[in-house]
Amino acid sequence: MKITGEQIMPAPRQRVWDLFNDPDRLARLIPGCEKLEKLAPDEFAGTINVGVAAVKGSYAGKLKLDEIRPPEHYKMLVDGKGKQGFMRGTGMLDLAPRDGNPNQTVVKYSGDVQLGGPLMQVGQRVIDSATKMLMGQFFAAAEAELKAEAAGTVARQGFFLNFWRYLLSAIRSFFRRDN
Amino acid sequence: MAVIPKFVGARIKRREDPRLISGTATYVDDVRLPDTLTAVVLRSPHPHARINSIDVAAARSAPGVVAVLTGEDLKGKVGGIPCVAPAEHIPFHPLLAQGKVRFVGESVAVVVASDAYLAQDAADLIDVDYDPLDAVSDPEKALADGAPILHEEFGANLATRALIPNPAVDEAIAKADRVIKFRIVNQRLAPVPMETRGVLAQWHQASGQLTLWTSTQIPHLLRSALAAVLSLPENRVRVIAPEVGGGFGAKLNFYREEALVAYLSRMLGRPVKWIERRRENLATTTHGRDQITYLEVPVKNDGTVLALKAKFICDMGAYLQLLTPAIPGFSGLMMTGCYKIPAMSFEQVMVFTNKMATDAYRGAGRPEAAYIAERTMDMVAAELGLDPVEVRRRNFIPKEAFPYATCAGLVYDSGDYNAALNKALEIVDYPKMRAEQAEALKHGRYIGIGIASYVEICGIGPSAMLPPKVPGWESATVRMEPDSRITVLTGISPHGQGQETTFAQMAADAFGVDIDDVAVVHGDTAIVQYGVGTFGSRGLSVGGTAVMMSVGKLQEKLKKIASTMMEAPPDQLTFTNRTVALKSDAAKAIPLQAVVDAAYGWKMPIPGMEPGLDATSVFEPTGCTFPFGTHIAVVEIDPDTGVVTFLRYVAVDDCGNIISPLLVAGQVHGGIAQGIAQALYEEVVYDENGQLVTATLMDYAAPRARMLPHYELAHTVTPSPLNPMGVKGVGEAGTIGSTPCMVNAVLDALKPLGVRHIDMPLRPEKLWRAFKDAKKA
Repeated sequence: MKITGEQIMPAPRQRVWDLFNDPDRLARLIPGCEKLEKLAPDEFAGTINVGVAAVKGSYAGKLKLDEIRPPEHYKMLVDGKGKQGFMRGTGMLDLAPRDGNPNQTVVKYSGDVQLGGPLMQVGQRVIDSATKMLMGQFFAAAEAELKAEAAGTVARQGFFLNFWRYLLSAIRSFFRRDN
Repeated sequence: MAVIPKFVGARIKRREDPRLISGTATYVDDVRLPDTLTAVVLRSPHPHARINSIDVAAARSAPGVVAVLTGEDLKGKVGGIPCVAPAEHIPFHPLLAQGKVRFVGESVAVVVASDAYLAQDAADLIDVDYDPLDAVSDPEKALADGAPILHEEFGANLATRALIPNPAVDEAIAKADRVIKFRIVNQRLAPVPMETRGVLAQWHQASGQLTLWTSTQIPHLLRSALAAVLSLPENRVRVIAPEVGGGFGAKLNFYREEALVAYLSRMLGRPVKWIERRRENLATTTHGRDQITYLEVPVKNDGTVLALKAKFICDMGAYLQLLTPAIPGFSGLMMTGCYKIPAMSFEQVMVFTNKMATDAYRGAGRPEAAYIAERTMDMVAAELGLDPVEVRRRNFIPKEAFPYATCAGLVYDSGDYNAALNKALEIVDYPKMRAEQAEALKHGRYIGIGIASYVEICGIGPSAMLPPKVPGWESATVRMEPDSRITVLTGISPHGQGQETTFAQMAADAFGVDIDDVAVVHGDTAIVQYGVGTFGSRGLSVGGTAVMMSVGKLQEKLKKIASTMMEAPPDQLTFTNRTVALKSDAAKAIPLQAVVDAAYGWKMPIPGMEPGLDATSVFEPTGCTFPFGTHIAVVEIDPDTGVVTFLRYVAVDDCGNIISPLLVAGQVHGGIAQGIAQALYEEVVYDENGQLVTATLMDYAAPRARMLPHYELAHTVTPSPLNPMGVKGVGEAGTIGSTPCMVNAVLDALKPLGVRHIDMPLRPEKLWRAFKDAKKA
């Protein structure tokens, strides 16, 4: 499965970078994340619980970072498995200040992930849209987190709240595209 | 007393059906034994990976768990799954993966627990540490240098190569007016029986006997294989095929789970059951077809085909099942079809890939052959601007030439290919249909007419034609019980074909009794004498002939006894209306029961004769039968959506003499459905990494009723000289004729677009693209 996308975050690049390297805060932002620990500066271990189509399950895995160039780039190597299957792959994350607005950051990501087991066999028809939705929820949560940080408060996070944020942003982007 | 009618040739409803449609039939899962444990198999999510370690500790201590085994636990204790067909490289085929997994779904461990839920929960606790390896799912890529190798011991992915050279083919290519070249694909299919596989094993500790209930087409052959794998004497193994809910060739096999469950029952001393789930069925029950063919066809400008040269790439999958490498052979030998093509040659390269093994699937090699022959005829017609009917007529083997020895060395028993073609053309009114097609095109409507004249090979024999341990003969015992009711014990193991009806029709007529006086028994090795099984449309032509041989022996005995009672010579006697009567005067008769009483009571012994009424026979055919026919489809394609609408579907089949017209119609209906499914809908898809994409019935497009046409059936009758009933077999005919017929129809509709060929399945998306591309051009 190939994943690519781009999002604009309402914060300067360094703050976005810090957020994307902070396991405690990331754990609250990643949909279904049950645990995320930093094993080493470039290695995380965690557990997420997600459902794709009828396949619901918990996956434990490791995330290794490579080619780290703060605050603009890293490469991710993902290796996770659970009773409903496995995922393995690589991804790239690139952060750049938005043209003409250093208080905004363009986040570009791309990845190539292999899936197997029931996750793949039952979920493959919907896996692309499910991934898109999960990514959308993550970025909606990250946006709220960064805004709250700027305002000196703490954003509330939670599955339904972030789903709602994702829906709102999806509706907004739909109308933006229409214009 | 009412006169008992004749049953052979009459439209008799299947006697099997009431129990099948009322839910009272007994399938494997309906067999309930006290104290039964359930097995769940843990399967690989990886198409290719090294197994570093398997941690089963948590699973072993989970609630309800009785045993957990991995491949390591079985090493040296149990044999592998056999492949009886010859091949250069036959890999060891373990019951549970050893060291490596080679396809998605390969069994890695088994959990036995008090119920299926606890077994599955425990299986989820098994931690397998895999080291994923590169996988290969495309057979042509698997042959390339640097491809990931499945079985390192062979050094490459080549399983075996078959080469039938013929210098005359190259001469024909040199002197032909034209040589037509093309590549066609018979895609991989899943047989999808309504009942998945299922196994129940019971070990009897006291007697050292094993009973195995399994959903199989071949209980006796399976008994032999099972006894060998478990090192048990064959007279201590009983295999029962209860009701079997469809096999289609996929249950003409011996599977890992059959041996595994038997092993577990012996190990644990308790009954163990395993029922395959649908997802397991799509991933781990043998697939069919999966052949790529490169063809060279030298022709004369008048449409005469001078030779056929083919190269096949045949996908074996990761391991070889019972007959895996034997199936493509039929495709090569039968690819000249109904045509008097003077020379042929072929090369078959059989390849290992990270996929489930292929093996027999309804037609087994012959649908591929018919597809080659019939696409060839249409290609020749299109290339030379001739009518496809004319090209076929020009190349047909003439009626006078039978028995006909083909250039492949087969002897076609009998045939009249023009008769079947003419009848089909008449039914569709071909000239009128062509005129309508031309008229419709003027209005932007795309109608296609597809023709396929097929010939197939059935009732395969003699035994020398088959691989070792798979004989070509069949057995039958016919017994007249003391109350003059008849029991037929047949070595074939019908699983939907309806021989409980056909064989009863035959026996009832032979003895002048009612069809309800006959019971047909099959599928239990402890009751039925050794037999072979049901496959290759052999049930009636081979199994039925054995029944008639035993019937003949009993008739002779009954007549001898009756002749002493009636003081008439035996050859003057006949069986009618539950009596033995004089042929010349039916009024001079004695009740059949009186003769039976004499045979069992034996108060007046006849010298040289034994008491009782029981006869066993084995029929070894001297050659194969070659059923044939012509199918014609008329379709319309919507250029905006690519959807195919059926306008007509005519099938004229010649299966020799017909015993049971309703059963023949049923077989043809089902066969056409499966053949059209290959042409238009079905395809097993593995992605480039070897993951199975069509793993559920949401993704594998088995057709529903509304996706199929109304069938118009007709027959010609050309009896086979090779058996006394003159029958040929019809179990696979529909599948063989319909696939090329439907593809030819669709491609005929696309002819105005300049489309030469599209590979199956011809899904709307592909056809829509063809229209779109044509518009662009």
